[in-house]
Amino acid sequence: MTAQQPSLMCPVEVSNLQRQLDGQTVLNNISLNVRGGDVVGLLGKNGSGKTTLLETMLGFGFPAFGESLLWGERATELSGATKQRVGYVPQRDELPGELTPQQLFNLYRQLRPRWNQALVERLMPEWELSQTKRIRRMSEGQKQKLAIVLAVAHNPDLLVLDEPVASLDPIARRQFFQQLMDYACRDNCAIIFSSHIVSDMERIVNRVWCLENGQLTCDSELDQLYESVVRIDYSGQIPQSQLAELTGLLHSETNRAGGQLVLAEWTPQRAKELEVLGLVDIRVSALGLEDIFLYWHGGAHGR
Amino acid sequence: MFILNPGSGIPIYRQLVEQIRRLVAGGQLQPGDCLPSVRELASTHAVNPMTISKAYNQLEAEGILVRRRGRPMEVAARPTQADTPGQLLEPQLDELIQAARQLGVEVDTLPELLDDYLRQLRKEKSS
Repeated sequence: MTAQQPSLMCPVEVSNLQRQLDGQTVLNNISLNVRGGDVVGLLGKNGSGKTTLLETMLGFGFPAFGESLLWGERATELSGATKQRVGYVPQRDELPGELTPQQLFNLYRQLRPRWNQALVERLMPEWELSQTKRIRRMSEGQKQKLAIVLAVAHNPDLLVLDEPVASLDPIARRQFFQQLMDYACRDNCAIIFSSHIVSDMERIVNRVWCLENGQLTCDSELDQLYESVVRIDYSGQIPQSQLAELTGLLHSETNRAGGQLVLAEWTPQRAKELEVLGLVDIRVSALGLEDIFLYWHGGAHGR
Repeated sequence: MFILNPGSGIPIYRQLVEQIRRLVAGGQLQPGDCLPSVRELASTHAVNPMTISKAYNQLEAEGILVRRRGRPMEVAARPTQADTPGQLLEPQLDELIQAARQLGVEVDTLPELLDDYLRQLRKEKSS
């Protein structure tokens, strides 16, 4: 059954990827994997290289070094059949304004053998989109929804969404994520999406990537991230210089009675280490992803 | 059916596990009752299906739920009563003790404070 083999391969394997634009390195030494069933959230400040990473991963541009493989095929040389397995929603819509959705669907249907008209017929009214309105007359949110319908209508096995919800209102966003999670229930389907709306990400991703200045600073299971990055309140007076030695220190501040730390690489066993330093009455609490992200990028992280 | 709080820093699978444990311990979910399918929960709550499978797997390993081929997850005939309702309140009690310490309230006086508070609640209810 050699024909089965490709579907078992990793949807995405990126190794030592480097990308240069106008002589500047915008992605540096990135290695990562996406397995079937993964829903990955890509976080990063504006200009950190998120869009470039997604585009290079999909083979829309040539890396200066390293490679990106989709189901084992080099992304810049994908076979026609493999291309059909990818769905992509770009950050800015590239939809032809003079056409109506209906005309666009008719066009796409001829290009996409796996086109699922039934899904289109279901999603359009659900998302309150008209099939006969010209695209240029649509709002940004409507265009974004249409771009999503177009990206999922051929049942891709890898769905990549660059800021898919930026223009959507909270109700549309929830509908979108409900649909997306329904989609994620299919076998071996993988989803990657970038967003600034961290609370959405917390519901739906199982893995988080953080990009900072073109480098991957975090590639972790979300649940593991929650357990390894924590806030610690303590009593006792400890010189800051001593605290600075702590592994994974992201943030530290003191007050009259004690202080507060944010530590990465936390394990419950490390409480001993803190007690030895003289911290007493240690209270460990969990942080939401938004806080983790802020400390990760703003704190004095010792990595 | 479930209340999920994504910003809390508590993994969503753990929130689900705790809520199902409570529903079983409190009798709202009875032996033989079916739970929604992974797909149903994933799309209604807009939550990653793997998260729900993870919660169901853990509850199955604990003997609270059972899986039968081709059928939805079910509450076990005799769910392991490892946790009494009282034990399930321990995280909330921990929080209370922590807050008391931060406020400099003697932990020994907590039962008294709780008594007073319950009495007050009853009075408000009857008036």
